[in-house]
Amino acid sequence: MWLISAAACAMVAILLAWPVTEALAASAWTRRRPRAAIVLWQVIGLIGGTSAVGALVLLGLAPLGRQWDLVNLAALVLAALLFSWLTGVLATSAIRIERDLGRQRAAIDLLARPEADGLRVLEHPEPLAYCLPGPHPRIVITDGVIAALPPEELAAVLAHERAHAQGRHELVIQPFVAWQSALPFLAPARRATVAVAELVEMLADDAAAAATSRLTVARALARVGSGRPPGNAAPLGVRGPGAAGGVDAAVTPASVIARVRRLT
Amino acid sequence: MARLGELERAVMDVLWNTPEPVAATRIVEELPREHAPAVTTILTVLDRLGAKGFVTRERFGRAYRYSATTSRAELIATTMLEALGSTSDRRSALVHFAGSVSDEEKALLRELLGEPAGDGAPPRAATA
Repeated sequence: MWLISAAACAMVAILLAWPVTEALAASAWTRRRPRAAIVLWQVIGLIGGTSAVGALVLLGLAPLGRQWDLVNLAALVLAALLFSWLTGVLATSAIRIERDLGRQRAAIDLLARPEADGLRVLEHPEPLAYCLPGPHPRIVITDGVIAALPPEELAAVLAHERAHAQGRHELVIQPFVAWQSALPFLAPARRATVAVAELVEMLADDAAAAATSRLTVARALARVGSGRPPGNAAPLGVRGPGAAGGVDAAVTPASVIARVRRLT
Repeated sequence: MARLGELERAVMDVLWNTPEPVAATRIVEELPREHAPAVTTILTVLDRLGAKGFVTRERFGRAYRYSATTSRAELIATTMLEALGSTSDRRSALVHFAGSVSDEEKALLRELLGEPAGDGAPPRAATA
């Protein structure tokens, strides 16, 4: 029966959104198997979204009798709106991100000549290391970070950023960030985004640990990744969990401590 | 492509090092010897840089003179701020940065790393 299937789909969406999300976010095993956990989050997101749309479609197609035609129509329209909203937000966010990245790449390419392995060094005293992701990634570091870190810790930071670049982690995170901003009232979306961002950092930490050592990465994190922006960058956005993107949870002091704990 | 990037950098360096607007022919003269491109090549490069918003031009008599839209230091600062700020809603860059660590956090981190308090090599925190 159509109605029962619709209800079942809705049930799946609700279960995935609330109890399952909470359970996964709280699970300790995810820290030991970050890659598997990420896949699980992706599956939850995909099935959750599909079930929500599916429930509406099934409701829209259910033969409810002549007087309920309006309900059918409303359900189908809602399904179409939800689907186009979700895909549209994904597309527009991808376009916006690529535009910003293009601008960043152009500036970096002018400011720094490429060193070995696509590294770009900026003359700036602030210790900073980041990755401009994409098919031709750039890893940007400042004089400040070179001065602040002993060589093996610098190697750890570079290995970490390289892992982000090679793993195309921006593609993993982007759908979650996009859907979180599309559904700001949906707390589970934010939980998922925060979780995936942290897991992606753990993946990069593991790669850096493989290249250097766990202790080295932990030390580098303690020095570089304490998570608070330089004073004058603060106006650009509040950082930490609950902030607009939620992704910044990955670099708050609390999560840095969690990552150091995980490595030591 | 690598050569083009190098040329763009070289042209920007000239513009950044010259306080007043400069003509394309003068830019050619100022470029390091190994480049020695034709003026037309430089004009193309200047057009590209203009389209990207890094260079602007004004008419001086019959020719144009070019200047950088921002100083080099300003561009570095803006780029970094944008990289940091963009993560707050879009994660277009994956960023690490240093800031001031609270004493409490510093102590906890030291503990986790098995370093005794008052270690000879304390974590260095950047000041804003």
